[in-house]
Amino acid sequence: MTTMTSRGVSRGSRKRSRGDALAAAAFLAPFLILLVIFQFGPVAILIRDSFYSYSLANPDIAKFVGWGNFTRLFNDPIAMQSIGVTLLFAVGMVALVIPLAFLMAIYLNQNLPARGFLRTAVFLPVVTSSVVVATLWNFLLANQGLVNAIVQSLGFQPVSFLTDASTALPSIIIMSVWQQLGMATILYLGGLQSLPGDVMEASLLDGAGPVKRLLLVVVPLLSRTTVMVVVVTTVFALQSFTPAYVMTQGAPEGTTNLFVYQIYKSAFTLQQPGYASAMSIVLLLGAITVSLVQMRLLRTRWDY
Amino acid sequence: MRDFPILTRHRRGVAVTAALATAALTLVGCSPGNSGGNSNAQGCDGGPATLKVLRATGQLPTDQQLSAYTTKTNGCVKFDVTDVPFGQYADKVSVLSASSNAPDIYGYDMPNTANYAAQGILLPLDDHLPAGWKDDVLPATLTEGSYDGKVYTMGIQQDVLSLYYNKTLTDKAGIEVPTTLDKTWTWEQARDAMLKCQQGTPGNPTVYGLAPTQLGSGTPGPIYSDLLFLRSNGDPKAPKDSSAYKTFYAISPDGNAVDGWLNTPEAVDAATFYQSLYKGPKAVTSVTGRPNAFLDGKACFEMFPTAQVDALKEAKVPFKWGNSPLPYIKTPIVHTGAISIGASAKSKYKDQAAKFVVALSSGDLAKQYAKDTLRMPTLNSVYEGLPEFHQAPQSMFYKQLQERGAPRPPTTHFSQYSQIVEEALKNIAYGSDPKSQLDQAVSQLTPLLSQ
Repeated sequence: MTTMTSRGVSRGSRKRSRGDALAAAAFLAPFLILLVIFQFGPVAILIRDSFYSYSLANPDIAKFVGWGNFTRLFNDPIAMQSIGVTLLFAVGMVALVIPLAFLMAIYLNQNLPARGFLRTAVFLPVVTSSVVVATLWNFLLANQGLVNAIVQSLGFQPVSFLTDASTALPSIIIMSVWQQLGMATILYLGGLQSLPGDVMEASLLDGAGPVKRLLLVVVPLLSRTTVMVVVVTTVFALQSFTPAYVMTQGAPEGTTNLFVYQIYKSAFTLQQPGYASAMSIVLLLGAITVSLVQMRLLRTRWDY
Repeated sequence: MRDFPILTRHRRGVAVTAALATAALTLVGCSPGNSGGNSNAQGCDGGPATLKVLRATGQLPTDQQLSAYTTKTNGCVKFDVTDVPFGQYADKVSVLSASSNAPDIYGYDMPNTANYAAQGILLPLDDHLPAGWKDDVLPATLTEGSYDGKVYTMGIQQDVLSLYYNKTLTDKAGIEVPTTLDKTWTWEQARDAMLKCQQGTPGNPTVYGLAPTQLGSGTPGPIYSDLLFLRSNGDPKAPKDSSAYKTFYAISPDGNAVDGWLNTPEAVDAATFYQSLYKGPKAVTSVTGRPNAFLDGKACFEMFPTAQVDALKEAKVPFKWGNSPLPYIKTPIVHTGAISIGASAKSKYKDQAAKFVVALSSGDLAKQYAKDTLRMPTLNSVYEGLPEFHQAPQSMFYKQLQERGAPRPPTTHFSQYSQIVEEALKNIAYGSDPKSQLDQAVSQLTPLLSQ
């Protein structure tokens, strides 16, 4: 009897479990179908294409080149320069975004008048079209733009921000930082607002001043947020396209030739989609590797 | 741990239906769309057809032309138009031409003809050409519209660069600007005049000698205008193995070699002169600058195609203006080429598509288009039949085309050539060493052209 009851329960449980699995599969199916069609499918095609040489107009006349596109990439001075420029761009962005976003978040976390408006204003560039932002900064940084008007009013010579090899990359880094700062600030703001009150109170009772509390309590406790901001900012920087496309077209002398822009040119203008696919694979693997290294190096020792 | 509640049969059904519906919608969304219903018109030669047209926004074939042709064919030919921004047009052609949804008609930039023809995108039109057309058309248009001995586009219009000048400013500076071909300035003379007219510091003027370019991406380097500096320092009458001859053509006749054509000593000298327009004590323009500087009366001169005439008239600018032939270094030259139309080699309606192209590029429709728009025609018969073109500045434009018109370097790799040479010229304008930039362009192009 006991056995029969247990068998009955077990059969009912299995039936229920199968029902749950079916329901879960049905609910997940729409997302999974879209994911397979629009994410995994194209990546699989990308991997296949990276081993071929062909043109977009005649994809049927494709020649298998094995690892040829990859070996070519590492022997192509323009591609290698582009990778170097993109890494510099990413380093510059992370180095500026992290401290600025942190300070901005601390400022916005206070009891300020019009706090909601300020937070919206800081976040606004994030939701503004990248093309609009790039065009706006193009005008600002032109030889006769607003920034140079200020420079000249201070008695200095105008600066060719976007056409001088020494200033072009820093200029597009600053523009991108301006645009992405809001996202990092909001993430930090969320982190600040979820700090455990008892730890903060304990540090206060222990006599820690504001600076000590900031450096020895807040910064370590926000390390998980910092990891996320670093990874998100790095991936954004590695995938950045608009500044090069809209503002500089990679000039001068390739100093702003971001890797995704180089991929775009290789695929469409230079008609080498196979080579561009190989570059995209390298970018994908590079972004994953950099993110993993960052997460490993910045792994948190605190939990709350 | 809390179990998920078991779904009722009804709810499971809803969930499964939702999943299937999503899959179905996704597949439907990804499948080629219907190109539109066919005409029900009776008695259509070759049957009724709806031709898919891919054109750059605001360019050929215009809505008026399409409407006129539908009327002309009694509704037998209708159109389904897709507009693409000009800057993205070539990319779109690359992607669409190989798809099952390829257009029937392309409204594309003529220098791409060899490229598209070699890739099997365009349909040869030789079987449809009107009698006597080859004798009537501008030689440069015929060259540019042909590949491997066959005609792929006939050209409807031609653009031609000239030097627009602000007469109010040049009069004030005491400059007499030539308006006829026999008195065309050399670039040295033109730059002296620009310097004389310019106001403020070279490199940072209040009134530019030469307006910053608005062509291409609005930065220096478009080969349509800027490669002319290099080519005009060559000589097409020099011996064929001379660097002067090769400089003029800037690419080998087969379109497969640039070493010794693009980086000749003459080309480097011309590029150095070109750089002096942007940098140094004789700078007359700027690598970045205010858009519409000429229209705003903030520039003495501007290099621009014929379309600026309309813009100046519509803007009702408060200054007098005129046109001077494009300056040169040793040999006068202007690039030909404009948006043209071609039929797709993959079209289901090849015959109708080819007939449409021919109808718009010749006869009454071509004449009407020239009359309505005052864009330079490609046919002498149209030019002769329209008195509007025999007045300045149109008459000077047309003479430039006839006597100095040359296609951009013809190659089946035009998009690669254009991109790489433009980058080199841009870097030169920004201050890079001209020789190393041209050599670098050659080394990038050489493996691409040999593919």
